[in-house]
Amino acid sequence: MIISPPFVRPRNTGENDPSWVSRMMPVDINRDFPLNRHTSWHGGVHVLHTDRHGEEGYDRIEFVRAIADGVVVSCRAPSSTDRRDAFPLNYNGRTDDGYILLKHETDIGENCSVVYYSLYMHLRERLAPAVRDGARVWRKDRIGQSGTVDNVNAFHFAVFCDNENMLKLTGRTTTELDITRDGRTDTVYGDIHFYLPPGTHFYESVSDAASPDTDRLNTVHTSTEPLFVSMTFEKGDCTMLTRRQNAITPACFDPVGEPLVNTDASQTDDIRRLGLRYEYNLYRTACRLYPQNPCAGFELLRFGRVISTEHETLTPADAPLWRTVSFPGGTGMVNLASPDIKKFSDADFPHWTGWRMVDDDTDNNSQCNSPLIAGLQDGGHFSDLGSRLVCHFPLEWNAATFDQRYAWLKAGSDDVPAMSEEGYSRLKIHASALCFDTGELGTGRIWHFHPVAFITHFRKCCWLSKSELKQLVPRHALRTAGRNDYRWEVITYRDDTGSVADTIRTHMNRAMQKYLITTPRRIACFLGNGIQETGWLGSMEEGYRYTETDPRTRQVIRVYNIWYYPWYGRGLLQLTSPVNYFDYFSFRGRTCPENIRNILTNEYNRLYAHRPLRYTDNHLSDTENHVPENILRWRDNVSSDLYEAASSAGFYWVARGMAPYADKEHVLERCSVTPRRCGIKIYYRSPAFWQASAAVNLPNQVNNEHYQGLNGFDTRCCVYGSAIAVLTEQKFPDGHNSPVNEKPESDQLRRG
Amino acid sequence: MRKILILLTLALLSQKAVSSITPEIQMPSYFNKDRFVNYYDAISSNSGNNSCDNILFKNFYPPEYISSKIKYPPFDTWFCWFSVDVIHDGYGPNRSLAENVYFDKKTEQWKKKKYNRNREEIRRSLDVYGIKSLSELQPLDLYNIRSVNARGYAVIDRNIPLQEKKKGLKKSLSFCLIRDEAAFCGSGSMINLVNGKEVDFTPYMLKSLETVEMGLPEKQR
Repeated sequence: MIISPPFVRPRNTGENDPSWVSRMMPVDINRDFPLNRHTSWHGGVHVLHTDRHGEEGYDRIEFVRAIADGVVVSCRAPSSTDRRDAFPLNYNGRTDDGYILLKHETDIGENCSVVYYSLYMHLRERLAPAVRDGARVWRKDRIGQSGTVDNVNAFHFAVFCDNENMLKLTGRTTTELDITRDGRTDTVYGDIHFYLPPGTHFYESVSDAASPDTDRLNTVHTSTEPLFVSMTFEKGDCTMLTRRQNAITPACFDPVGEPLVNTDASQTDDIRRLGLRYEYNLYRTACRLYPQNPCAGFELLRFGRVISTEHETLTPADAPLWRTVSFPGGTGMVNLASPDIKKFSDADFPHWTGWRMVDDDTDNNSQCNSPLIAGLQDGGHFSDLGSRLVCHFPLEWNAATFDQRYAWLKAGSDDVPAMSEEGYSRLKIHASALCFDTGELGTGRIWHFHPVAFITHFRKCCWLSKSELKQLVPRHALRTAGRNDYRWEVITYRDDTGSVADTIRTHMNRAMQKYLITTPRRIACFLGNGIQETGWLGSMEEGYRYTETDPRTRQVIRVYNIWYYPWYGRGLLQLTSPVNYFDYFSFRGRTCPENIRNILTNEYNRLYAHRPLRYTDNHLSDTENHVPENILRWRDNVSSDLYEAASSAGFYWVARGMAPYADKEHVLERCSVTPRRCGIKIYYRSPAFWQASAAVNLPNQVNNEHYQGLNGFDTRCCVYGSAIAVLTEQKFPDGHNSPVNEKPESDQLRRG
Repeated sequence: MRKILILLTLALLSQKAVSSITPEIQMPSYFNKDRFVNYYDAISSNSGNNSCDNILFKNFYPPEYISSKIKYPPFDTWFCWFSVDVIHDGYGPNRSLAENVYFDKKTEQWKKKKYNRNREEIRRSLDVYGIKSLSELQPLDLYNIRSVNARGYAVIDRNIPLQEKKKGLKKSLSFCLIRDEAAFCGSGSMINLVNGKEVDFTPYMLKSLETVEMGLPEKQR
């Protein structure tokens, strides 16, 4: 799922993602979610917006944009200003009636396709020309202009889904999360959460972090109440935050102590000079603590448990995860891997982070009769917790259900005086003028989210659907055929059912979750390389066979293998050379005879150092080195088994430290070339993308940002450009180096 | 036993004798040769070439570091590369500098030479460094380092790309030390704030490089 707010202005320096999303959507406090002024349900928020002509960073007219790829379910062109200013649209003030309802279909996990809707109501003047019933729209597309509601410059913005999709999106419809068992595994994203039951022991220190043994440990605290620990990985750091239930207001969870940042980072693991950064050194930590199977150990460090049980076995099975955790009054070491401690992620919408599903008002009218919300209001916590309530009530735009929803107004309530028949009738006419054909959605109750909370939350998901992945593959590849000789070649992308691209997608998404390739820029760096390396996800094996022909007669002189055959590139990032394969096998917990490893590594190093010998005195062959059958099988699996293909790429990512480069600022540089028989073509590169790419492919050129020798780097940049456009909100520089273009030039986005 | 001890002492002395920095560097008056922490760790892992194995060096540090709990050498990520690549690339290929550093196989010394740059490269230089004229570029300081069991170069570069300058980088040191097929390379910012005071680590780090030993077995933990 890729999602963004309906406005996408530039970020302020140092602004984090939730703050930026929130700043894009200032909410009218009188028209908030889930209740409006009269404590009746309100299915969205009114986003305040006035065009700010001429101000830096603002367009002259700032259009409302689609929050995600989708299809127009229905829309209505805004009425004229005359109609807007008169009854029935003008009831409490001038009100625009243009609207767009979008349906979004995407994936958030394995076999977890979801459908949700976004509604943009009270749009003014005219909708974007492309917006019509059934039309396809893409995230960030301009769709309309924010209008007026009751004389206030704003539009109504809502996000909702049906019951079936609520279960897929959040994993439940019950108020709170079931903490008697671990959370969902079909998708795991965002923060990892641990439920520590009463009776959990906290130890002063642990001398052997690889041992679960607690016999000789000094207990500093034994908990007497449930504690909830959240583990956040961000830009190389790891933060641990403990929460406990508020004694007076059970719906509130208060922090315990200060957040612990990189407390468990070890200098021993920082061999790459990245600083005491727990996340950046996770690979080394996994190798140190779980030497029998670092790959499974990595999952333990990342998720608090092994998720890929089909492929990974923790060895020993009771290997611990000792982390420093705050308790009331201090900190201590807790083995979070203990089965008594339950594991979750943001994908479970934990109630201790505020998420509560509200399904206790079943009367189908618009009056909020939820005991849960009444309780929050009584306790004075509704304004703090309201945005993370997901509420089940009828859609407010179906004219046919108006009486069912609003008849109570005629009798009044504690908050609202009884309405006269005439007043009721006027309201009904006004509301009906704004209603639309809601189809199935208008019957029964649907689940409503606070749009800011929904968007902020799902920006952490980053699972790529088939359609989203496809868009990362550019329409053309730039190939360097010689010095100043470029070709602009059409890319044929095959992702039909059963194709490699289609089949590897789940493994790739899983690997990205596991190896924390979970920010748009990290994904752009990872897939900018992976998609090019594999010929548009067409093959997980390098073309190692070459043919030499006579340039004059074109007769075949010889057919030969690349010099490092049979240790040629395999997998999504093309694992290459014996040392990398053996490092990967070790990471996967596979033992190889030391002599075979040394012989092959030394031979590769010898050939690497002595170019003339590569084809004349080459001793890398399997038969010559008596490479055991199991090693051959493991090597072949890196390309033939798509789990291994994705896993080996994740290994490469963490072992060679691509993330620190991907996390740098991406300063886009517009590159212009004139390929043969084509006009000028544009592609984009950035120092950050170069460094991340070179970290795996040419580590000795990491700091040499304008090195030209990396195979297909221009083509990688084409994928990178598409990825930046599809995954981020970053704009592309024009010919004057001004960041004004929303899409890469040269018609590179694969859409339609 | 006595003979072995004498031989060992001689071997150690001879090793020490060959360590050198050329040209010689002027150490600050308050440099203390006994003020160091031993750095011993695996460099090979993660770099694509595993033949650096473990590295040991004396990490000399300035007096301002005495009270610091962790006495990191101020280098960023470091690598184990193939010596053939380091000799091929030197310091500065495709860069926007006026000079590059190359290995003279005849004299077995690292040397500097001027670049001839075309108009496009000059434009890039001006852009990268945010300067108006190439005359603003500072010459590189090059040192040939002979450590305990490796040889290589260290380059002090005061030409800081604009992007890095914004982050506060003022002077960088890049080095590569070669032993057989392996090259231990790294770089880092040499002028850093320690407790609010700007400290120049350059002489300390050059002196530290002189003590590098490569290809050592894994440390017993």
